[in-house]
Amino acid sequence: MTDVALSTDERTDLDLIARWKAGDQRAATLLVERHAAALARFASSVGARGEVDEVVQDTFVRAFASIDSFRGESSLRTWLFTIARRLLLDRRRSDRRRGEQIEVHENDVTTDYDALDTVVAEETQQRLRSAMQKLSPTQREVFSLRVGEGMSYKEIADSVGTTEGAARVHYHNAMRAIKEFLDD
Amino acid sequence: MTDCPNGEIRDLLPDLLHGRLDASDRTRAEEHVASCDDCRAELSLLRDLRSTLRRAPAIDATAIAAAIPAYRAPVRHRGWGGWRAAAAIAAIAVGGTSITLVNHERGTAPVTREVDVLPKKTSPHVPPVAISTPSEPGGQTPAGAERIAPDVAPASGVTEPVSLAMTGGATGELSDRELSTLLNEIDTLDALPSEDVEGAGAVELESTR
Repeated sequence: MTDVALSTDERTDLDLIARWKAGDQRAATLLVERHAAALARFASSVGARGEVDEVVQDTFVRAFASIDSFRGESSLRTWLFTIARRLLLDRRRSDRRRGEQIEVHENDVTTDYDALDTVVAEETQQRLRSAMQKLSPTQREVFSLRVGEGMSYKEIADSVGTTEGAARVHYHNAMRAIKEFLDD
Repeated sequence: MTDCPNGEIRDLLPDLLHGRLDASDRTRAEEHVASCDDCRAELSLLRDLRSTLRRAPAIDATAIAAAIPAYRAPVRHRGWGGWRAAAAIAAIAVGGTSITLVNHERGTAPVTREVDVLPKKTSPHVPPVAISTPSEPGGQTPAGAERIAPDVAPASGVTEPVSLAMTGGATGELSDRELSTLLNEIDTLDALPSEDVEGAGAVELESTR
């Protein structure tokens, strides 16, 4: 089930980290280019709304600042997703404290895509987005990582802070909910 | 849309979509999908969902990379562990020195088992006081000292007392109560078992009545 290309990716990440630590700032740029889009997709899919840029940038800044704590036990991307997820949770908490009711629920994903919808205007895409809006925040996180990023349950569990079994259950529940929504 | 009863293959479909299966699993999954309408439909749905999920705002990677400072190796601070180790070493050194000095003052025997108090000028109403402990080696009592046997019998008949004889004049001027206190303190310093100290105290108190 594990792919050889994944190990190559991981090795590349580790090489780039070593190069950056040795003073090669271009290696940092390459690392950002390798993972920024995936982080942006994830942040967007779980309701980061208009702050995707900030979340992605903060994720990288924090990751590079604490790069020595990255032991390579998981892939760099999984580690980055973990950091991004924590940042998003912190933002939600601080928003809640300020009284801004920004729960990541029903309509969060659509706001990101509203502008895009006017251009794309594809009925299937809209229905799928609506189906995913019905998922719980955790289901959406897991589903986004599993289907959008192709992560294994192990990687998802590491990112989300749960078990592989729980991640699997969340994925299949999400899949069932989407099918039911589309069948209605 | 119905679910295929083959949960194992359904579990692999996202990996098949992302090309993350090894050769044998990929072949197995592809063969199953080719013959299963439910899995084929689910795989198609997953493909559409992935396409939807992968639409995200454009990210300026160059701007993000510019915000990343150059690497700085972590500075190792001397934490509590180092401080505690240094304190432990100091404590051991001080303790060892103290023990050496105490033993040196007592002569060759490392542990004092008997304390003989020999006032140089014995006042008539203050008899000499000797305190013996049960495990002390036997020995000679210096001249002028009157040994008062404690309630507890010595463990060995052959003894060589290590005396802490107070021959200085100052101690001879002490009152009975002060002398008693001093003896108790000396015994405490010797770290003798508590029953020995109590016994010695009892003997001393009796001797002063």
